[in-house]
Amino acid sequence: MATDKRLIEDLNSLVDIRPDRKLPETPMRGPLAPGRGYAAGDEPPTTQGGGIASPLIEPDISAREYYESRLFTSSDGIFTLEVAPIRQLLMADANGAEVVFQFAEPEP
Amino acid sequence: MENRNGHLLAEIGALGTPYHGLVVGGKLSLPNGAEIDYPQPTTGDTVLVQVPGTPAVERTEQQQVLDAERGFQWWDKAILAGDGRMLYGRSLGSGRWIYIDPDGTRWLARVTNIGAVDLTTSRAFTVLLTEFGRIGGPPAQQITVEAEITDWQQHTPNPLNTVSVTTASMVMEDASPSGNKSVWALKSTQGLQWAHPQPMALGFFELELSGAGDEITLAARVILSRAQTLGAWERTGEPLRGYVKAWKHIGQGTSMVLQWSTMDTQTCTGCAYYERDMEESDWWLQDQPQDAPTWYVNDPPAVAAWIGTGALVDALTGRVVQMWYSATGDLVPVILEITHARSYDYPQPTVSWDTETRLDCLSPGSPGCVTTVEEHDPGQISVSQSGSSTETFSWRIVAGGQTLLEHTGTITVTSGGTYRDLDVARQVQIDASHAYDSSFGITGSRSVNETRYPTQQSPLLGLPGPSVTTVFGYPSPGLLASEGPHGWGRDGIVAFGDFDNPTLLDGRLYRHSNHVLGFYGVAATFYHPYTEDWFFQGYATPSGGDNQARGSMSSSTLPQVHASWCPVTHQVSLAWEIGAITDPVCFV
Repeated sequence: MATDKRLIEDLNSLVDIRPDRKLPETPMRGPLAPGRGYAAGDEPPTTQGGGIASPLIEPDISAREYYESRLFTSSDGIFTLEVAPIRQLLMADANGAEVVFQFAEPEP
Repeated sequence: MENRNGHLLAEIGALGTPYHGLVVGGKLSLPNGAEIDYPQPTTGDTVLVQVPGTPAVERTEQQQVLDAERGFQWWDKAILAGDGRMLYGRSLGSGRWIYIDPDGTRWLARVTNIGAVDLTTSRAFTVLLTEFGRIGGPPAQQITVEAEITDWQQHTPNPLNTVSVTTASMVMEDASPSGNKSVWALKSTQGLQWAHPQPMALGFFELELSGAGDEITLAARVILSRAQTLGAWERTGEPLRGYVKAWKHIGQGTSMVLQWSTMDTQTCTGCAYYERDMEESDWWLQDQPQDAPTWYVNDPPAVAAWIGTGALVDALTGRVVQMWYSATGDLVPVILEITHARSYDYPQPTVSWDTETRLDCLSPGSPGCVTTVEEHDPGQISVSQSGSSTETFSWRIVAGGQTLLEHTGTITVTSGGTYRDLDVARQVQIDASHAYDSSFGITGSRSVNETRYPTQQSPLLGLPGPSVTTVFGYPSPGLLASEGPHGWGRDGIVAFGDFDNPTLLDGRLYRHSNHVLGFYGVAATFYHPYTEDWFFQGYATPSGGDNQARGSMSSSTLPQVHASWCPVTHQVSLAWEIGAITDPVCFV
């Protein structure tokens, strides 16, 4: 145990060398000084980056992609409902930019 | 389906209909005690649909709790309800069913040319198959298949005696759970007897679908010929040897005939024919007439008595009254069996002319006995007899080797008395007691001790004797099935009572629905006034029967009585038991 205590003391002696730190100055209390304010105006559509412009419109329904269809069957087995979960939708935003929706495959 | 999105369907966790139970008066009773509006099937018919390979319904504990709260039941099978074949509250159409082909595709099957059948010619069947139950995917297919029955096997026997049955209606009785087979009855309403409201089956045929998709084919075949459907009526033992009757006729003079006849032919084997001039008091013996006077054939006898000792058993076997399919798709004939056994001891009656026995040799084949009567022999005629008989009868409904319904009864009769024609007053002295033990609801004894009968009334000593009779009138020793009246239970009828106002005990089946046959004892009395009481004795269904008598009902109500059997839960509902006499009841 004595050896361990010595080791700890040695380590502490190494890290005990600390820089001189000062707290930042706090501003004066009271109202702010008068000045001009600025606000962001209507920005033109960007062609790249910067987000998606609403509305999103699907230009071609045949472009939809589906996961493999699955069959839901009534408990009595008489009725079957065939459902293909959608996998991907291609949309165009207000700038005509392509927006791709990709959906996760639901559990069977 | 799991509750992944909080959607109601996901929460319920099943697809289909959870609404099952009994529908009465447009209300479906749910297991949670609630009632919901539901279309009323027109009859209590039920046809089971079971798609092969459909897994058993599994519900989580949470779903079970919700199901119980909502009154939901999720079944792995379905019922086509009523004559209209209702599914999920929608009628598919009368006489239709669902065929599941080997690939699992469901088809709605419809015979396009359903209707009356000419039993003397061949008949081509056309079945239209429309793909059914698939939501989504390509449009439903339609296929037409055909098959023909060239010989209906209805040539013999003719059950209506003198009425020739050459046409019948087709009634679909059931379909197998997978719908590959449907069984149909050939039924006729011709020649129905009084108070028997339903036609009986004269034969059965089957339509069978096989194959899948475009390869589906149809086969049509006769399952039971008319002879096989009606079964066989067999008699063992000795019938009564005969009877003695006396007629009196008042015309220009007064005539009287004593007749000894055989039961089988009812022809006179020994007759004494007397006449008395008007205003005269003496009877004159006439020679045996060459031709029997016509009046005495049609007039009711003044006195009659059975004669004979022996036993007789009539048995109807193998009468197929219904056919249905088991849960495994096997065709099950439902068979009616009737046994009517009689033992009787009716000795030769004492026939006397006034105080002198003049007709002691009145016996079969002994017409010469009349010569012992002297001319101008005045007086009165008396016929005395003391005898007894016991009749036991039973009706059984058997299906698949199991007796679904059985009813037995016994009638014991002891009788004795003397008919004494006093010429003018026609006073009758007769004592007879009829003791019968039957669960028809008629128990105890009845005695006849009349001192005066009106004209045209006559007592019949020894009733009920071995008197299987089919129509009111002269009892006959029983008719063969092929000659009997046109009805399900009409071949064995027991009569008791006095001759002009007998009570008939009759066992009758009633088709409440394709899976419920009710059995009734009918006690019908004639005149004063005519009455008919139906005593419910029980029912037979594919899952068993019930022999508990439940009381009586009027015959005018009976044709409206509905009943239904659930092929899933095996419950039975009898409309009149739940106070819905005129309303159809049906399980959905």
